[in-house]
Amino acid sequence: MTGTTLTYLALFSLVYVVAILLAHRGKARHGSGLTEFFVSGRDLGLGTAIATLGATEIGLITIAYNAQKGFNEGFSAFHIGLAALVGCVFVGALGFVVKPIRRTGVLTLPEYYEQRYGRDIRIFGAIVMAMGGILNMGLFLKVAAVFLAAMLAANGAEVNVNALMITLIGIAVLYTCYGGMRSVIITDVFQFVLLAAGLLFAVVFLTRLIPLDQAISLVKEHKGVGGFDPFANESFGLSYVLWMVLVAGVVSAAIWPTALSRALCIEKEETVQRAYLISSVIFLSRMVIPAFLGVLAFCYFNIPALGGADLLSGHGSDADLVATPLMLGHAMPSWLLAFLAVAMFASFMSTQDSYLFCWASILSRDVLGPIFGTIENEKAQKWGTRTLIVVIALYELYWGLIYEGHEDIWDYLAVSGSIYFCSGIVLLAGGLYWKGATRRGALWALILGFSAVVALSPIKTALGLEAVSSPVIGFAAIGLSLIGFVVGSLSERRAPSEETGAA
Amino acid sequence: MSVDDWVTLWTVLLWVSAGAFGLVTIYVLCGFVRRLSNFG
Repeated sequence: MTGTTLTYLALFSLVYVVAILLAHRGKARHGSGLTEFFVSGRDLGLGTAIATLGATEIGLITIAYNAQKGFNEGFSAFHIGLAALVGCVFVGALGFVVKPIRRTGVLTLPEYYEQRYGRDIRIFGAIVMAMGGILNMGLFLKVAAVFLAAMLAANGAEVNVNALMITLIGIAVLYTCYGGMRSVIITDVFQFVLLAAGLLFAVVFLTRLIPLDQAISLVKEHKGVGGFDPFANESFGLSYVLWMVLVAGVVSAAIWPTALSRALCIEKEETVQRAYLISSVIFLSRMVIPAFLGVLAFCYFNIPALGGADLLSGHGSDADLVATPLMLGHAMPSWLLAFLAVAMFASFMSTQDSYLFCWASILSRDVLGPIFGTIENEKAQKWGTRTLIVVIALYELYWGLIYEGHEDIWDYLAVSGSIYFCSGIVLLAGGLYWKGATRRGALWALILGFSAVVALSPIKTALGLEAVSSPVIGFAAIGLSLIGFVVGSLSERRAPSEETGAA
Repeated sequence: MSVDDWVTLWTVLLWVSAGAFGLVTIYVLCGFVRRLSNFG
């Protein structure tokens, strides 16, 4: 069994690596230049835009945290997918932020900050953006390693997972440094197909093992109403559901830089809205399908006849995280497990490449560029980005080992991301839709939005705020940022007339 | 909403999610294959 799985795994991995190389065949035809490196020549069509959005937003981390939610909270975890659908349809239907930001012609989001508010806001905004983003990806490696190790170990396949993860990151770093955004996108297309096929095969196979009716009965029996009704579930409630519409929907699609940067790569402005509208079903599926796998894992370990009951013992507080991969490893035939493992590699790498490139390019172009006067220097920008990609990848290895917060994974991601997006949503939407926005307002919004950092578990504990939920802190941070933005802008606009009056 | 209403909602959402995901994947795959054949 073990040998067979490893043979299939080696075979599928080889095909996958060859596919990455083949995908780069036509890359040289696209030439060079800053536009080519940072926004893939701005030539994306509809299908490619959907694929790259989907691949970036469905990482192995996405699968892991949604499976964890499904395992713990049952079907009520599906509300996160519904919230994401609602938020993304809103963005697609109105073109909220994505359409006007594409019209500006910028290469990175902080560049828009400079257009609208000034150079210092570009630098400060870029630092906040990159800090939130890099903290956000801190858990990616650790969670992915735990997930893959559990999945393969449950099948008896002994693999050095740390070496495997370093290899996967290494490959992603290599091709991202080589081709910039173009490489990220051309690999995203087949990575998306691979991970989607893997997830769908897993659902089809497992629902033959545990029919949906049986899963519903088991969740009813063990979790009661809270397993279905998110408003009755103690872990969720109204503020959490509203927070999800904002975080999983609007922010994930229209504010989060890795997603929003795709809007900057699309060739035609009118395609932007269509891409987001169609992608709204991916924003739904990326939450619902892994959450369903988590529900099935919960059922799997509550059906003694399936023989997996002992697998969870000994995993302690990690049991909810490893339950789904343990089920996959235990239930799947060798060939399907190996295929699924490679699909997981694809989902891990498609997110890694986008995140590494996004934060590195922002730091290079919007922090180092303005400071050293190299914004339009192609060589400096490319090498700056490449160097930072390597540095962030190394930092990710380090951070994945030291952070010991106690949020579940999704809540950690929402909180760390909010360090950026609490002010990001105000600066982007405010700048695009309110003519009265000014530099002072943007500065105050950035400073006050940073208060979202309070929701991180270690800081919350240090301040004695354990009783306050993360959604409440998040909404408060956005509110503070918005107030700072409006008051700062209004006070700056009044200042000249006051001076005139005084004179 | 009763538990049965929630069950209906999540069941519909699950199959819509899986079906739409499959269709989008096929659409992307067709585009990818067309692009590969253009390279050839």
